Amino acid sequence: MVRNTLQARLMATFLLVVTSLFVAGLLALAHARATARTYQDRLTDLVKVTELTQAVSEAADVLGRLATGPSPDRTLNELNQIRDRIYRLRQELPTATASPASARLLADLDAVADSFLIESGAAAYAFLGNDLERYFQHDREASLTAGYLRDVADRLLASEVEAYREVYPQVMRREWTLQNLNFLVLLSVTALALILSWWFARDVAEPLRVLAAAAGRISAGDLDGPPVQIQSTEELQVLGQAFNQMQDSLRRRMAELNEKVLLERRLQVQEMERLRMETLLREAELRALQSQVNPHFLFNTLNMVAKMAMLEGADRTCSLLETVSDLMRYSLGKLDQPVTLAEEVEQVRRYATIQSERFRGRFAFRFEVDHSALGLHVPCMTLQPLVENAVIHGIGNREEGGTVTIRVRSLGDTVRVEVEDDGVGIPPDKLAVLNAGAGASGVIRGHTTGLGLQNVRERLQMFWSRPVSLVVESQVGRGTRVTLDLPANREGGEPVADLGG
Amino acid sequence: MRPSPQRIVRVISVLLLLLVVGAVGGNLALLRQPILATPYPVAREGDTLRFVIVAPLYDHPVWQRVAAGAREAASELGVSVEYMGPRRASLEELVTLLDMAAASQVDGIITQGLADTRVNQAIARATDRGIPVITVDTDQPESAEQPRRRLAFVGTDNRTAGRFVAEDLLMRTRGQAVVGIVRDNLVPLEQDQRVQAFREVVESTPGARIAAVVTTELNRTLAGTSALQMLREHPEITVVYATSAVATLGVVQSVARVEGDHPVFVVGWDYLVEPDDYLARGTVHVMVQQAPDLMGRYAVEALEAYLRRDIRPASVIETPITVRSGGDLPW
Repeated sequence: MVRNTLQARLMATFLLVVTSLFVAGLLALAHARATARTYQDRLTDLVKVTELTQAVSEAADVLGRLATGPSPDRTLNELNQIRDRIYRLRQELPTATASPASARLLADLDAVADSFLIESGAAAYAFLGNDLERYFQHDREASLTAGYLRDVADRLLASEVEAYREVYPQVMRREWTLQNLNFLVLLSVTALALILSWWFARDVAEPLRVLAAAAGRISAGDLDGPPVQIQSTEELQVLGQAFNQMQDSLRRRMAELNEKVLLERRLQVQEMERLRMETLLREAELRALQSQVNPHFLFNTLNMVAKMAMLEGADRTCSLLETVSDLMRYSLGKLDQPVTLAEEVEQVRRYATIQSERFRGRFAFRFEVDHSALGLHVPCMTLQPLVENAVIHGIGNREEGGTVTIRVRSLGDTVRVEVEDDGVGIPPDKLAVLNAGAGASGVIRGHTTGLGLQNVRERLQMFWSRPVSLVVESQVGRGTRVTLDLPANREGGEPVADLGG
Repeated sequence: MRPSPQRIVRVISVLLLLLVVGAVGGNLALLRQPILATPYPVAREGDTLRFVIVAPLYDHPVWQRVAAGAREAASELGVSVEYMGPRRASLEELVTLLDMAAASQVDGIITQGLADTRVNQAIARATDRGIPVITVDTDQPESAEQPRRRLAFVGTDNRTAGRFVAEDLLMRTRGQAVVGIVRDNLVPLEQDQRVQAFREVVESTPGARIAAVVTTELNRTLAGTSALQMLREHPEITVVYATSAVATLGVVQSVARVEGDHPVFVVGWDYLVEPDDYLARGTVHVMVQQAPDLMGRYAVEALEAYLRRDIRPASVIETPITVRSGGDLPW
């Protein structure tokens, strides 16, 4: 199977052209040589005929000198040499001629030469045998025969010339035909070469044009065009396939890139949704906690009871009820908005008043407040849960009661809040859980607001968008202290307010 | 449907390729042909037998008939025959041709026997070289100092022919005739025989006699002149007997011009040109026709049999003659 490569095509064309021209040239050369050879052969033939005629004439002369010449021996020797030459020349006479007449005459020539040899031989023998009469007779015959030979030779030459005159137009026609044939070969090969060159050029140029167009399209960004179809030589087909593969892989790479971007965007959206869900969960949790107190009903009832107590003259009861009412109003009203530390402390004071009134003499509350720190904004209900814990779990379980100390101090960039009791304390294993933070809220969820330590911790964290230090220290039987370090520069608090809204 | 350009290109390419192949093929075929038409091989010894007819005159009508008969026989027997002869009647040239034929070592020579020493010597030389010679139409004269060297003679028996023609004439003229004879001198023996036999028959007839005998050169005009002169000198002549073809031609012309008191009866030999026409017109009344083509045929056959099969022919081979007469009798 011949491979359809550009190289093979070019080689085939080249071979065809060169071979054709070579063969045509070779043939022309062969013809020229054959013609020259023929002419030369014919000329040689005629030269042989002339040589034979001359040799016979010479021999006849020598034979005549035999009787009259000075040295018979030398003459005889000379005669023998010429006779030998005649023998040789007769062998070399042409075997074919141009016309039947010439053939006949040539045979005659040979026969006459033979007759001459016979006669001259007979004359020489007669001379040697001193039979002069016979010698003269044969000499005369030989001389006549030599004359006949010349006659035959003349007629032969004339006949040959005549034959060539008849043949010459044929030879010329043959030459003419040959020239035309060679010219035809030359013309055809040239035309063929031109056509094939044009064809090849087209076969190469067309695919290249297609490739260039496709390359232009791709460089313009259109990767989705159809693959180029190249029907040409193998080299160009390989080029086309490579081009198509390139386009294909480019397209695949771009598709992968797009998919990645899409995936990342989806992941981002998922993350945001997750965050939003978390926040919603928190809010829900908060709402649930808030709803544990049946706020408006209690609040209104308390207000009404306080009014009645005042009308009935029970001033102390009225005051207490008003405190409770304030306590509740605070819890209900500002729960979703940041409050100042002063308001928180005031709330804790109300709580302390109520608890003091409830457990008269048993519980004591001490406040050591640095007033410069009270302007700090904190989440609502930060302080009260800590105090509640101290009352319920610390001193509430002791028969003789106890004291809860609330300290607020400014430490420069933080505000330290301490809630300390001299209650029963917390066992070390529970303490570890509390300090670890997670999972403790359920255990410590207690009465009143019910907001556990963990809740406070998380809300603070959300408020400042970073962990806030809440450390519980305790010794069993000696008391517990909760220390809260709040950042003085309040930043990142607003999102929580927004979330609450 | 229009063919695509690619298809056209392909077709043209194939055509061109075929053209190239064809041209090269033609070139090659031409190269295989010899430049000159088939060269003719030179005949050599051992080839077909080669005979030569040496006529006394190249344009001689009788001899051309001889050659035709010889060629016909030659082609049947597979031998070759060449015809040659002097362009003008010349014994020297005849001798040269005979010698050349002998020198060319032909296988056989067919020629006319003549009463000439040089011709006889030439025949002897050829025979000496081993070339058989057959004389045709006229035989070599026999003499003591020059024996006949020819292999055989093929021709008419002139005596018989002379007698036949005389008998035919006398039958037509009822034995009455005054005859003038015109003969030529080329082959005396042949003429002698023709005249002699004729004379014998005429002289034995009471009412017939021979008034005159003239001899002319082998020339039509001369023969005619001689005949005219004889008729003037002998107005009583009623019959002119011409003993050769040439003489007959001359006699016919001269007789037509003579205005005598009686018609002249012409007896001719070998009136070759259009014998029937002449006979019908009454210019010739009795005529001896020889068979020259048969002479040629018999000569070739005799030579072929002698050379190939060693059959020596009879010394004299006769060919048939035809005596024809026609036209109105003059009286």
